[in-house]
Amino acid sequence: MASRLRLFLLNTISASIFMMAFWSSTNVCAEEETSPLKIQSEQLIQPEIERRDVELSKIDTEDFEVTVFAGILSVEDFGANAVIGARFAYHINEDIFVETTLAASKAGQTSYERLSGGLPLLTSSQRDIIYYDVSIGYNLLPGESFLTSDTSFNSALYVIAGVGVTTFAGSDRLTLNIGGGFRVLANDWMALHVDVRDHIFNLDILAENTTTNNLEITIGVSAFF
Amino acid sequence: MMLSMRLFTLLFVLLQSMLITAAYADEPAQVVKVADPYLEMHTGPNVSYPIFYVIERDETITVIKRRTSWYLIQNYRGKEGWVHNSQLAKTLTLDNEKIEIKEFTRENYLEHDWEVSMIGGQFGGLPMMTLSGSYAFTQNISTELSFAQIIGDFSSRMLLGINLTQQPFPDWKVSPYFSLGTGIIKTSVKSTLSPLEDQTDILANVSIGAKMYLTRRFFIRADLKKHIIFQSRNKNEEITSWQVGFAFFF
Repeated sequence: MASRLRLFLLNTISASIFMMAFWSSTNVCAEEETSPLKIQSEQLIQPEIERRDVELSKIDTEDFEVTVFAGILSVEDFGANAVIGARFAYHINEDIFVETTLAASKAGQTSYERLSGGLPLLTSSQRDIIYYDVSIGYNLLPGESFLTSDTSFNSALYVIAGVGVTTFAGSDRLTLNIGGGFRVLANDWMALHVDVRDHIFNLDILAENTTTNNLEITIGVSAFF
Repeated sequence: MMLSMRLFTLLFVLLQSMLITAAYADEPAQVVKVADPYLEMHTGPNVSYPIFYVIERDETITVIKRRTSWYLIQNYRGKEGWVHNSQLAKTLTLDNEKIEIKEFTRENYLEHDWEVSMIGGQFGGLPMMTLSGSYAFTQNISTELSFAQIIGDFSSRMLLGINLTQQPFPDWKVSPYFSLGTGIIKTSVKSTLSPLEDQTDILANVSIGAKMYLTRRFFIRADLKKHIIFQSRNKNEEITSWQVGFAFFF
């Protein structure tokens, strides 16, 4: 009997110790659970906003412009002939740009050749004209051009000058170019160009070395990228 | 005419590819909030284009693209216009934080890998023009491939060269460089009366020059070169050249 009582007491003690240990542990757990609840209640007052990073450096920068053009190149004594070419420009700022051009044309006959009947001054391959140049341009008059009273396009008048090489009559000729152009922006990335340039180089075909002024009028389409 | 046809085809293909890249190069648009009392929208990317719309404070705008120091933006009504860098710098993110407009600066210049330069000057008294591209292995050492044309009264020359450049003090404002190079030079005689014939020779050169950062992607450079042309017919030809020009980096 006594042993049974002893067993009961022992069980009660061990159970109570176990219960105490359990209670204390759950108490700690409960304390741990209340703290995030507190934070959550605070966050209800200050709602958490999803962070949006603005990275303007990721925005598409369109400072380069590529142009294809066609027109007429008049070569002193050799008549006016078709010219086609391409230009590649980098816009340094809103006013200044640098541009490189590559173009080809073919010179016609001089009046001397036509009148004398025979005796060509140049062979067919010597009449091929290829020129390239590097120029600096300045947007002189940026503004709007009105097609009708409601329709307007952004436009700019620019002046340009540079230096390059013209291969004509079998040799390379140092060439200065000076001129101007009119650019009309059709939309954000496309523009139409009308250009007038004077290509100045020396020609020594007709006995003496003379400086020639060779005017060129072209129209072109360009894309900014 | 064959040549111009080929050139035309090449240009056509080039334009096509440019148009395609222009149409599909859309980067994700960025949304910002106007913090200045107002934001002026110009019709074009230049201060001379008229202001046609004004956006009020706290309105959100979408930044579409950039040209030089102007940004093309769109407001919530779908109005599109160009805003200057300095005004956009005063806008905030949607979290009311300052945005940072990154410009190409001297720091980018000091870290760049690729550069393209267009320089001109004289080669033994004759006009010379050079187009070159260079790649930097480190801040100090780079290699450069160049194509030059020299125009004389009686002959013209083409020079294709490669060199190795050492820039000992890249962070100096005017930074000097030293270069060793080799290449080929082709001399074409202009007049048929000349006793000389067209010829191609090997040359070596040593040069000293300097680069100075200007603005954005631009810098200016100048160099002085001593060329030795190993001629086949008689003794070597020694020529000094100088060139000045501008270059931009990527």
